Amino acid sequence: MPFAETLQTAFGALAANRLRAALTILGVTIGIAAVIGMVSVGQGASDIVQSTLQGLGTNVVFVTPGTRSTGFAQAAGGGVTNLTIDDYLALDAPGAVPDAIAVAPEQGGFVQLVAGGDAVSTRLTGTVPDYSIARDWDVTVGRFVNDGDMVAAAPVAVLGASTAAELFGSPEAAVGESLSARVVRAGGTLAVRLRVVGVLEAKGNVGGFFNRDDLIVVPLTASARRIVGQETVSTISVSARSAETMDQAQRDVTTVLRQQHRLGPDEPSDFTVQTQQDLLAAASLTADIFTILLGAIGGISLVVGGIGIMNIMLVSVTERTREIGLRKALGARRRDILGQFLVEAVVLTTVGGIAGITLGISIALVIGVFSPIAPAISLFAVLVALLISMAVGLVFGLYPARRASLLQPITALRAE
Amino acid sequence: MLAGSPDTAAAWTAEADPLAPARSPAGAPQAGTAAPSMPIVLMQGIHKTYRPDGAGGEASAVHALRGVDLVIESGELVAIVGPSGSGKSTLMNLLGCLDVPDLGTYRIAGRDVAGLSDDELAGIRNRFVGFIFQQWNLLPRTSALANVMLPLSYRGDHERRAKAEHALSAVGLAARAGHRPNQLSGGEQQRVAIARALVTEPALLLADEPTGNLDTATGREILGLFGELNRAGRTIVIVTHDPSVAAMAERRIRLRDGEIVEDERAVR
Repeated sequence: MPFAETLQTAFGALAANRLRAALTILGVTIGIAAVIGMVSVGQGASDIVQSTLQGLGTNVVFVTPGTRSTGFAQAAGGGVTNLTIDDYLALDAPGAVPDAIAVAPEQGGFVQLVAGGDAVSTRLTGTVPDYSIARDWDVTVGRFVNDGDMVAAAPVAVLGASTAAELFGSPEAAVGESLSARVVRAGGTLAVRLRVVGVLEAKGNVGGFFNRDDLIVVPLTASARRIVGQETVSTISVSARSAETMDQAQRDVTTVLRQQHRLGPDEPSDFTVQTQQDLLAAASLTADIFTILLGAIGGISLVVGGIGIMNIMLVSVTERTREIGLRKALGARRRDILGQFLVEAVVLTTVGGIAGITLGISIALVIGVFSPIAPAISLFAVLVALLISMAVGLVFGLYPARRASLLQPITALRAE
Repeated sequence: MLAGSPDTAAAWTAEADPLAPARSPAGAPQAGTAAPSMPIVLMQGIHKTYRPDGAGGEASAVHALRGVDLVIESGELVAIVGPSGSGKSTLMNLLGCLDVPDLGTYRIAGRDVAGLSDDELAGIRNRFVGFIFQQWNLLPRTSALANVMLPLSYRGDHERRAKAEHALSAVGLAARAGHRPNQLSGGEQQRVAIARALVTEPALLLADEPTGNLDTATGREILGLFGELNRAGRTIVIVTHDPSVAAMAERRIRLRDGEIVEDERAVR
């Protein structure tokens, strides 16, 4: 039997039972739509995480307080704050980490900034001049925090591009102006007057998810003494000279901090040293778990859909027993009948798969409109989905098709 | 027509009788047609017993055929008659290679069907047998032309469209080629079924109650068509319990209790 005719027969048989065919493929459609939609959204979310992490600068070693065993434990360990300005000073001491070109601690919190009649809430970062090097982040107007500011704990501020624009209209207008930073501390609200000395260049919006230009930077000394009121820092970034010296830098940082924290040889570190690669790996591990979970959901609905296909194909074989008998009487061999019903099942699931891909992409696009995540629709995922839907038809269509092919012509012809 | 295929063109030339079995220009029989000396049907000592599923005992076994010997020569028109339960249907199934005998030899156009696999039997049916059923058994939602093409499709014949068109015009339905079965009358549907049986140039046309679902006038028309086909050289076996159908056959075989009890030839 020529394939074109088999295909025509399959479409004809399905067209004769449109509603039934449509209901049958629903399971496959939903399964494929779930997989395509979620993979697209998941990929979009993962893109955001990746570019955020990449925005942290290259060849950077990050030190955070607490230990960290998995990607999820970081937040749990965050309660133990045991990195201090002294730790930073130890790392920044000449010769402590020879491969470091910049050591930048950060402390911060949320503040409300008031200038003129405008008030905005933003992140405050207390840091040192090296921050500009570690993050590869320069000012467009004015200057960054300098050593003089550090020594004097000067009440000066460098604004992110968005914050400057919101409060003063433009970076140029911001420099030289002063503003009031209000922070909630134990015992009440504290307001500190700060003078704007510079505005950072715009880094851009990461997928709308996280605006990196929405911040205020002050000297670490000023932040520790006047605003946050603590000697602890949330993270210390150490920039290595090159990618090759990253490992050495990581080891040196660990050694220095273990001495600094007076840890015995058997005691575990009470801090975590990670490279950007580690953070990326942790993020992609999270993404992988997410993907596996969604894949499992999609897989289950495909299996359920496949069973539906098998069921309806068995019904179809029973209904068309006479037709099978006739075809056999006219000379159809087993493989002709097997092929006919297999093709029918595959056509059914392929149509379901195409509908699912369309639906999944639509869902992803709708999510893209209503959320900051830009869905990433991959041709690869679409092709795999198409192949999977065909495979579902092949696997679940095999048993009914085999049953049809083994029918004896006389019994089949006599069937009602 | 069919300028690109001289062999087929020779078989289907306009001057040739469209209802006659195809023969090569030299007059020698083609593959699928028995040599003149060889009977189309040669049955010797055929037994067929049905045992209901699960019951192995001899008591429940149905001896449908008990030692049938039958020879049908090329060009004969044979009616097989008998009351229901006489083994008619079983004999018809065996003649059409839809089933194989338990005992005895059956040669169709010289080929022994013993020990053939299901697929080999399908091939034999496709090459040697043209079935015409009481229910017509046309595929619904499928044009008359596609229905007629079906047996040729299973054979992978590249000229199936031209052959099917020719077979339809041979039964007078050329104008109805594009119609679906539900757009045709009963007589027309049976003509499509006959065209489908003819299109493969079978050695044996096997008709099971071909007029059973038709009114008398249409039935007579269809029987006329069988007569025409037979005069053109077709070997035809009609299974029927209708005496008027049996009356038109030159040879009548009567079955009772799985045995041939009468084999009479009309003198014409």
